[in-house]
Amino acid sequence: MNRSFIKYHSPLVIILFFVLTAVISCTFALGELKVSNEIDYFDILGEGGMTIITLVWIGFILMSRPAGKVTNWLFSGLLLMNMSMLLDFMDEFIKYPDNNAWLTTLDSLPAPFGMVIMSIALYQWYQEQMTINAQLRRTERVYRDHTLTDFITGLYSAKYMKQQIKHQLLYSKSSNKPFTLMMIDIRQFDQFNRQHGYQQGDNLLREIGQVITMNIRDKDLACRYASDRFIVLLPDTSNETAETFAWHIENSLANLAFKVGSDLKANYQEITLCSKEYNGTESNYQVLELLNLKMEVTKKQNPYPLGNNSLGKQVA
Amino acid sequence: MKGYERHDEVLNTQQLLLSIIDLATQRGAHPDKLLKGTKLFYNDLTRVNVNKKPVTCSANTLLTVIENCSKLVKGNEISFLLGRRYFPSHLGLLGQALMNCRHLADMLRLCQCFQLDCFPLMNLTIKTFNDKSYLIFQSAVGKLSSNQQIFITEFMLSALLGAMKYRCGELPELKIHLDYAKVQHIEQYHVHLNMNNHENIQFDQQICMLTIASKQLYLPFNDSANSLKVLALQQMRQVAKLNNKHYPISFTLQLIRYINQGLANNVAVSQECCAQHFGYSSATLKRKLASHSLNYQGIIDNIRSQQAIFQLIICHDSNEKIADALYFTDVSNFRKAFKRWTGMTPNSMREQQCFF
Repeated sequence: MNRSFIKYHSPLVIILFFVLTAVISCTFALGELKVSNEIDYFDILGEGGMTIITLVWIGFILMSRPAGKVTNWLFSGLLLMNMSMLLDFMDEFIKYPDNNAWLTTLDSLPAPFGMVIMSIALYQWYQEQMTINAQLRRTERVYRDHTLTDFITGLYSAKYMKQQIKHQLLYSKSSNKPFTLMMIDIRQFDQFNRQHGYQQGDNLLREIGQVITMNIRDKDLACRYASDRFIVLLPDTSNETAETFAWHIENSLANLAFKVGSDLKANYQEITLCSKEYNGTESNYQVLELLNLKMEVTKKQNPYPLGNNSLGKQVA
Repeated sequence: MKGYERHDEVLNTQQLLLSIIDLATQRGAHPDKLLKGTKLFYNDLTRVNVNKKPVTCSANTLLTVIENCSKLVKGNEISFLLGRRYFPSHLGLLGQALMNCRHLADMLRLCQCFQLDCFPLMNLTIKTFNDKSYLIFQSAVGKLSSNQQIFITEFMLSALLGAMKYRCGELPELKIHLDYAKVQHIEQYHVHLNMNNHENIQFDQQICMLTIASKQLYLPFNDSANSLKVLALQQMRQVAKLNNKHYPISFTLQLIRYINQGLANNVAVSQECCAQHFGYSSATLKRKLASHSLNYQGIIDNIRSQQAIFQLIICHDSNEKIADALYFTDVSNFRKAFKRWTGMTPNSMREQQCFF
């Protein structure tokens, strides 16, 4: 991905600068400079090098990773290690009076903590990476939390969508730009499951999830809502645009010839699709309830069975 | 006849356990971790017993697996999926009998009679008032953790609603009261239970109840065959006889029914009388209750509080009428007891209802 995440890390950058200045000013306040013949330049080279390298690592972490839990762990671990090294480094040119000698004994303390935290962080990073492998583009926005993915489809779950809707509501309210939510429900999914088995049902869900993500823009977000329902967040989008997208998705899904196992027969799915525009004045919970009611109405207006080309559709 | 208790290994839930484990495994959990604390292995469940007896387990085992599953698997959809798949294929002969019932009320009656085979973890009571019927659920195996309570309630609701939808063609108008706080995964209720409107599903209630129009329960199913139902029931009885099974309903339900009889006639049922009725010593009864994390007075309080709540929120009865029905000497005693049972006064509960 060709974009830096550093702009999402302003709190962490502030913490970093605060800690570094605090450590340096603390050592200067408590001790006094050594005379030049007391300084061991070899040590300065070694310890200074380590301090700078850990600082570079922190920089890389912040540049390459989105905001989130694992990033916070990695950052805290590295910061603690960096603190230890910085204290050690400062030792080389600052002499503490006897009553402040505790600072020299303290300097090695943050490092082991930092290493333990780093180990936890790396383990979580590994787990996160395993989840990410299964993920696709257009399924994530700004924040990453691998515990919120849906195992069946590889998309994010409704919980993630709810968080994003919360952010979107705030944003829409302040910027006065509407956003639209789209809900997609597979018709007669129960019957498909009964006929072909639940494993195949799960496969179908995964493929439908992929088709939906293929039809949306990079800034949109598709998540699995629950069971056979998907939800798509279209930021800065009015209903007219959403209507076009709905048409695209319906067309693609109508042409998705799903094959069960090695069977030659194609299974075409019919969907119900509805979308609703919001301007940011609604509450988090209201948004979903309105959308679900809309889905209910749409379903009633387009009772099953339908012809192949008359997909249930209503946009308001 | 003896009722089954929490630790009695009489639940024929091999298929249910396997389904839970398979669903959880598909979502990234490890079978051995799911079975931790049950002294069972995955192989025990897939193995067919030589003398053709199905593997039985206790309610405790099932509850442990449910607890593990709630902790290990994120997403909270397993309970709903299990429920949707439960009827009729998981129920064997009972499923056949249920498929050939005349109407929903008939099906519910069978569910009550064959509690052990149907919903072994829940007691189902049906009340009617005006033209509505109320299905009230309570744990049949004593105290549950909140994970277990939510899982079991969700499972049962989705199984019941799935069966209704399957048999009636579409879901009738329903209303649900739930006795736990609002859950994070509300979207599952939207989709699996079709409860889109917050007026139809209320959390944080003191009673777990499903409301349905009585006439819906008696709408006839045209494709049911009574002869097939009778046959399936006869076969079930034969199988039960062969396996020496004689635990039709839960121990707690037996107790509740007995105490209820007494309460209805304003006869205080002491623990000694109750123990004698069931042929235990008083200490044995106490021990049995303790193994369900219950106590005798708690059961009586629970029966009375559920009765009071029902009269209050459904019948809209006055305090005087409820106090009278429960044989309180005066209203202020009733109010005090109600506060003790539910944590709120009768009036504040009425206000809460108006708010919804």
